[in-house]
Amino acid sequence: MKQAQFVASRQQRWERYQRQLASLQSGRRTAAPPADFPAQYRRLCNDLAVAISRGYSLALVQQLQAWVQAGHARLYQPRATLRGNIAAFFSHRFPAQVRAEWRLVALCSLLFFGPILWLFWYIGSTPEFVYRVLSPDMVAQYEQMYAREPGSGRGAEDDVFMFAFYIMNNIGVALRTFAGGLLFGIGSGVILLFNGVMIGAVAAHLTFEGLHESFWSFVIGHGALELPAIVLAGVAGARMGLNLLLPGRLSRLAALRQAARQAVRLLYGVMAMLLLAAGLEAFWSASAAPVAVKYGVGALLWLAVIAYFLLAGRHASHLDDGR
Amino acid sequence: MVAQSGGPTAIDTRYPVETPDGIELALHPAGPVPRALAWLIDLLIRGGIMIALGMVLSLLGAAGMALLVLAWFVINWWYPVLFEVLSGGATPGKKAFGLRVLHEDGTPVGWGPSVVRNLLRQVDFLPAAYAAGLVSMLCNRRFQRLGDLAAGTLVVYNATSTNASGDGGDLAPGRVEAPPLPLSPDEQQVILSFAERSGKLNPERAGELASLLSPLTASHGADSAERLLAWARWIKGTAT
Repeated sequence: MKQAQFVASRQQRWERYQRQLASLQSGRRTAAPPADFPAQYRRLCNDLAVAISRGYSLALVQQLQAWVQAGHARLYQPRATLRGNIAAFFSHRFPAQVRAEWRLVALCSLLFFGPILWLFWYIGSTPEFVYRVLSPDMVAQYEQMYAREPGSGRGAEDDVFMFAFYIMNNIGVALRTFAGGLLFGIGSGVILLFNGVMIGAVAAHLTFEGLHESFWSFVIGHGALELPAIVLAGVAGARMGLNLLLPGRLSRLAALRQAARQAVRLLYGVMAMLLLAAGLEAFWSASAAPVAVKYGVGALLWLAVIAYFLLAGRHASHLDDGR
Repeated sequence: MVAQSGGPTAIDTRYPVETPDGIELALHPAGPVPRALAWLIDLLIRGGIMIALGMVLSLLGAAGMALLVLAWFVINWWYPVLFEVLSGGATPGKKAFGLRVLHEDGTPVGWGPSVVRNLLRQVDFLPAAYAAGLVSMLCNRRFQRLGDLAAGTLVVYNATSTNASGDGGDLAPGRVEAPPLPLSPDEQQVILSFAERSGKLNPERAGELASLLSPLTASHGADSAERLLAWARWIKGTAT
């Protein structure tokens, strides 16, 4: 069959396909295509194959390819949307995934909490060491910050601003911690260590300077979510680094992709934790509630977070192999 | 760029993807330059949004500042993800250059891979100005930066359609003549392609190209081109 005849015999069908495509492209992304669209698409695929094998002109082949590609993009949409999975994710998939990574959780916790503990011990005996970590200006700033009565000097509007600031800053740190994992895990490790040292130096210094009450009552509540979240962001990055270093039976690239798929799910959980933490830090930690209440609530939060990761979804996790 | 699956002579960057429908999509991965330019446009747009928001929200006091900080967070980290997933795989900058992001199997990019490729931008940027990403793009045939490699995504040119009628590059009506000997499909296609493109070439260049086939056409320059056009009409089956 000559090309001109071929085109003429299919012209009507192609026009119909184009109309369907145009209406699909102007509609919602996930809107269902008309019932006969897949059939139309397959016939177009057939036309393309025929056009190629008969050596019809490039212009025609390119035209058909463009149509096929547009139809392909509409038909083969990514399947899962986040919406249906949120409940299952937080009730069991997320904690189960964290438990499955317990070795990396232990390693990253050591990198993050290790310096904090060490600095407590060290600054307890040699207080001037804090100036090797922080500049005198910064130390003075922190002292001033926690010397005030909690809840004083900040209005509700400032709370809202701090909420936004914590979201930007803390989630930013978590996302960078994750991304650093691509450098064979080194980036994640360095960021965890760095944050551990900074937090440890501040916490130890303030504790031994007699500001322990205002400091600890401030941080204990949101810290229950914030600190583990940073550690888990490190785990997500370390997973990528580890898979790059020890790909096992996969190629390094395939191992990296597998790790990235797992890591991004961890990150969703990390971001949710940090959102909650930012809310707590802005509206609860800075409130004027009595110190004893803050300690009590903080302790409960720590227990709840630990129990969540140890226990949540233990029986449900076999139901699906974590998509 | 003939879509017969990339034989040993394929020298372009076409990346064929076989679909479940038994055909190949010919994807054209985009190189560093258009992507960098698209990124620059996005940068300008992001900057513009932030400046506009800053002017409006600064009137609202502390609450406005809170919104501005949140906006900065969203625009800084999630601008590309939101556009890529919700707006057909392309940020406005990519759209301007006819680019979009796909999975390696040719399907539209989803949330997970888009998050991965855009968060790992941080590493692609290292040590400065996307140097790591550039090296990575030049080290593989599909121009994937590190984030793309980890996410299994690639940035391609939109498939271009030559015209809307479906019968690409109509030939001007004229003399129809059968070629002097049977031509293979490849050879027919060469002649068709020449004929379809000859409208865009100046007559001298068309004649020069057609002269390459003078042993076959037994003529030179414009005459040779005219003959090829006549054969093309015959091959295509255009009515006189």
